[in-house]
Formats: sequence, structure tokens, C-alpha cells
Amino acid sequence: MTVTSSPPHADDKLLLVGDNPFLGVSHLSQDRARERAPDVTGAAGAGELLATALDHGANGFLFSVSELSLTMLSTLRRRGRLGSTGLYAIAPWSFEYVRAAVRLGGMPGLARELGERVFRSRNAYAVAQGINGAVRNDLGAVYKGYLNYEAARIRTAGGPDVQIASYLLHEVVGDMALGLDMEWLFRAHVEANRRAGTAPGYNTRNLPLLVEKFRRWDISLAGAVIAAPFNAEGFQMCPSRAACEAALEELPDTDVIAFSILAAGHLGYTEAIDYVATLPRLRGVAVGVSKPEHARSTFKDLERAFRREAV
Amino acid sequence: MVNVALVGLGKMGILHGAIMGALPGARVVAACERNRVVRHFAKSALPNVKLVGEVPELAGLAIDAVYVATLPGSHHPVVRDVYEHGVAEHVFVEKSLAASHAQALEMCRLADSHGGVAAVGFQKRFGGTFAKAKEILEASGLGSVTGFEAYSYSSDFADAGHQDATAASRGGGLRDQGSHVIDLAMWFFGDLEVISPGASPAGVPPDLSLGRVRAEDGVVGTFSVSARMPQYRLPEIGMRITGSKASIDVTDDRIVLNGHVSPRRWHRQDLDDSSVPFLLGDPEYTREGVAFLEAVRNGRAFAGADFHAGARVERVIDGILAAA
Repeated sequence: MTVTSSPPHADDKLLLVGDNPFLGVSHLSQDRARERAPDVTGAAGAGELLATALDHGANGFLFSVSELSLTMLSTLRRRGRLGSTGLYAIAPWSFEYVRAAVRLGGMPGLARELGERVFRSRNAYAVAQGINGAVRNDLGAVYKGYLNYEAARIRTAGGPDVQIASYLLHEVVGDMALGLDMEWLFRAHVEANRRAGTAPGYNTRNLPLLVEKFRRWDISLAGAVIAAPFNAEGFQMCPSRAACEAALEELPDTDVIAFSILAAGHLGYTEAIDYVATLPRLRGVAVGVSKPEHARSTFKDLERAFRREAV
Repeated sequence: MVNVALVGLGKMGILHGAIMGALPGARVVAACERNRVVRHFAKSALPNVKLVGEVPELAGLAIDAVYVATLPGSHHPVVRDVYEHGVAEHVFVEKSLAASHAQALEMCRLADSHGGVAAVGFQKRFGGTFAKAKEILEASGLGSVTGFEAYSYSSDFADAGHQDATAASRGGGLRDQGSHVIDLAMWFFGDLEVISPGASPAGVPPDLSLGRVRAEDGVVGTFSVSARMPQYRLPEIGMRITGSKASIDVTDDRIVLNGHVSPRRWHRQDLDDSSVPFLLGDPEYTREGVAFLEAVRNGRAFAGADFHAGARVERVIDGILAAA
């Protein structure tokens, strides 16, 4: 196992910068999120932190497709850093869509708003898939059109040659679909990624359930990317830390990326890093940084810990 | 196996449905959605779920429990239809219970005469930090409680106009998010009586609701509720409870006990809060769902809020609105 800062190769550990701090998210407390200075949550400050992390051991970026993350991609592009950065895009950015649903009077209002956005984008494939899906009541087609629309937004920000490693289905949508047995959505997601030349990805807080359902539906996870919480406290590892660790062992051909390794800021860096380094099946980790000193040290520390465990 | 039907396929109906679908021993078999377009697409989105347009059409589908997750203004007629048409024995209604105290009382009467579990979705009671606060209060950890200040803030309608129709259809900030913090206060302190509107400081958001209440044992408290606080990215509920020996500051995320040599602080993580069989949204939704299923299966009282608790919340909401 080799560890490099960029670009990530098949044998490299993925050391991804997560975007939660930039989006004003703190799962420790909302007080803390509110107290974060604008130099973390503003586009310029967030872009600086991301660039610093990439200069100090990080080799990729795991981000929800939001206006902020798209601006950050533009910044990376201008600095010539995009080609050496592994990009993992989570869609839809559910926070924005849930808020919109509240504001617009529920699902019909949200669907109308999203449809108008796709139409205004003049993305022929997305519009055609949307219309086709609506007419034929084929939600798989609608979803594929939607993901293409998000991909086009990324290309607009990152340039036509931007390389995305995987589009990951956001946990709120994916976990909801697991509970409601929406097999068709996952199949549409696989197809949409295949069409984009990317690995199908899933963001989940219910890893064992995802593995079980995919096995039942005969949907392969070989070559897929899964981002799931892994931390020493078992925080948000459902139904339990032991079950998630066991599920990880069943996924030798899947790139599993750990997030929430700090249990949302409840664990110290050393303890957090020591734990994930003991899970050799992990392909990598995603960690948010909110201070330059963290951006400079975190990924170097992770790199050292993975190297130590690999010996 | 508990067969569940959903009424309303908005975000809360879908959330409860996904949790029911993921929990062992329950399955979603039917859903009622009046919006024709939503129902049309839901048929292909949820191929294993029978879709209907009116509540009485759910009758005869061997449904054990109904989750009502429409807007509060429709809860009363929906629940009346569920009972009158024998759709199911057990009912769970998303907060708030009704659009008025009078409607809520009628729903209590229907539930009492019908039997079965009649639950209201005040899931904050199942949150780790608020349960810890309840534990401290029951152990008299604050000494004699003298008062509380409670708030419920969000930015959901921070950019909306003063007379936003969507905000109004959700019952306004007080009935929507504010009902949670009123229920928590009643869970902590017992029944509350509205004694006056709170003092309204200058420059407050246009929807700010303020109320001053008194509990049966004389504890006096205040509520401050707004859905137009731009700095609250997510809805947040909090309460400061003051006692003769100590005080508590509690939110969804953490609880701080002040008054000892050094404050004691617990976050969700300290309280093992995410240990649930399935996690979607916050873990309290799942714990609430598990408690509802246990009550349905075992014929026991629901461990959360029942219709009568929901009706008491409606009385306080009506009182605050009337006093304003």
C-alpha cells in the first residue's frame, strides 16, 4: 500500500477533504457551527482551507453539489489543481432540497422548482430524460436526467475536462430508499454513473442494511464507492459499530471511505486516526477541516498512521 | 407483522414510512395521497405499496396502524375518517395534533371511544439530551425549579414575505416547530396555563411568538418561537431551566448542568444517542417509531405523547395566540 498526496491511484489511500465545516454543518452542536467564522464558510476562506489541505497530504475532495462547493472547484481549476485531486460528488444536496420543500409547500412545489432549474439549464439530455420520464412515469429516467444536470453544473465550474471519480447518492435519499425498498432508484443510479464513466457511490449511515439489500436485489457493489461513518465511539454507525465493521469485511472489492471519524468533533485526532488506521479494508477517509493548522496536520497524520499500520 | 399505511407523502410521511419499512416486524403496505400528480409518480416509486386518493379507500386492506403526516389543518378530518371507516386500530399523527384545541379535543374523544394507540409525533422526548434533562429533573438535580426560558428557532421562512401562505398552512411557526418545545415543557413540568404574552423586544422577526406560562406547581416559564432566524441553519429547540441549586441549558445537541464546582456537559455522543437500528434524520425518530410499534404489538401505552398530551399543547398554542 502506498500513500501519496496526489494524484490518487488505485493503491493509494484516499485522504479526502470533507465539506461539512464549509457548509456550516456541525454534528457536535449548532452553537459551534454558528460560531464558525465566515473565513471557513465563505467561498474564499473555504477554498483556501481546501488548497492548504491538498498541499499537506490530502488527495481528494468529498463534497455535496452546492453553490459553495462549485465555487471551490472553480478556484481549484484556476490554480491548476483540479487534475491532481480525486473528486467525489454527493447529490442531491438534500439540505437544500428539504429546505426548498418546506418553503415551496412540499414535494409538488419542490418538483416544480427543480424541473424549472433543469429546463433553464438547457441541458438537452437532462430535459429529455425528465420529460420522457414524466410522460412514461419512469422515475429512473427522471433521476438519470437529474444526475446529468448536476454533472453539467460541475463541468461548468470545473471545466469540460473535470474528472469525477464517483457520484454518491446522498444519505438522506439513499437511506430513505433503503427503508422503502426503492430498488429502482439504486439501479438508475448505477446506470447514470456507468453512463458518466464514474463509479456508483453511496453515502449511508446504515451500511449493513445497504449491503444486505443490495445482496437481496443482486446489485453488485464491486467497484462501487461507499462513504459511511467509522469512528471509535460507534457514533452514527447503525445499527452498531460491530455490525458496520463486519459489513466492511464483506466488501473487499468496494472502495469504502470512512467519514465522521472524529465522531463529529467529539473525539481527539489521535484517537480518531488510530481507530481508522486499524481497519485495513477502508479505502480512505474524509475529514472536514475548519482551521489552517488542522488542514496542515490532519492528512499528514492520517498518511503516517496508515503507513504505520500497513508495515 | 404490523401493516402500516401512510397518509400524506410529504417529507415527514416518507421519513416515517422509511423508518417503518426498515424496522423489523413492520412494513408499509399502503399510502393515501390526495395530490394526483404525487400519487401518479408514487405508484412507480413505491411499487410494493397500494396507493389511494382518499382515506376511506384504505379500509379493508388489513392495516394495523396509520401514520398521518399531512398538514395540521387536515389532521382532524383524516383521523375522523380513519376511525369512522375502520381503517386501522392504531393511529400516529405527526405534530402538531390539530389546527386548534377544539379539534384536538374532538380527536381525543374519537380516540378514547375507539381504543388503540393514539400517538402524536413529538419525537424530541426521545432525544438523548432532552431525556437526560428529564432524568435530572426527576432526580431533583436542580433543587426546586423556579423557572424556564424556552425557544424554538429556525430559518425555514427567513426569506419569506410577512404573510407567507406556506408558513401559514403549516400552522405558523408556533404550531409547527414551536409545538415541540411546548410539549417538552409540559413533559418536564406538567400542565401549563398561559398567563400573558411575553414582552416583545424591538427588531424581532415578524413571526416571533412569545408566551408566558405557569405550571401547576407555580413554575413560571417563557416561550420564544420564530421560523425567521437566519443564523439558525437547522431548526433548533432549547431551554434554560433554573432551580434553587443549579440550572440546565439543553438543546437538541447538548446539555450543560451549571451550578456545581464546574459545569457538566453531555453531547449526544456521550449519551449513546445514535444507537438505533436504523438512522434517517435524527435518531429520535427511530426510537419513537420503535416505541410506537411496541405499544401496538403489546397493547401498552405509548411511551411518547398521546392525543391528550397533544391536545394540551394545542390549548397552550391557542392561549398564546389569543393573548398576543
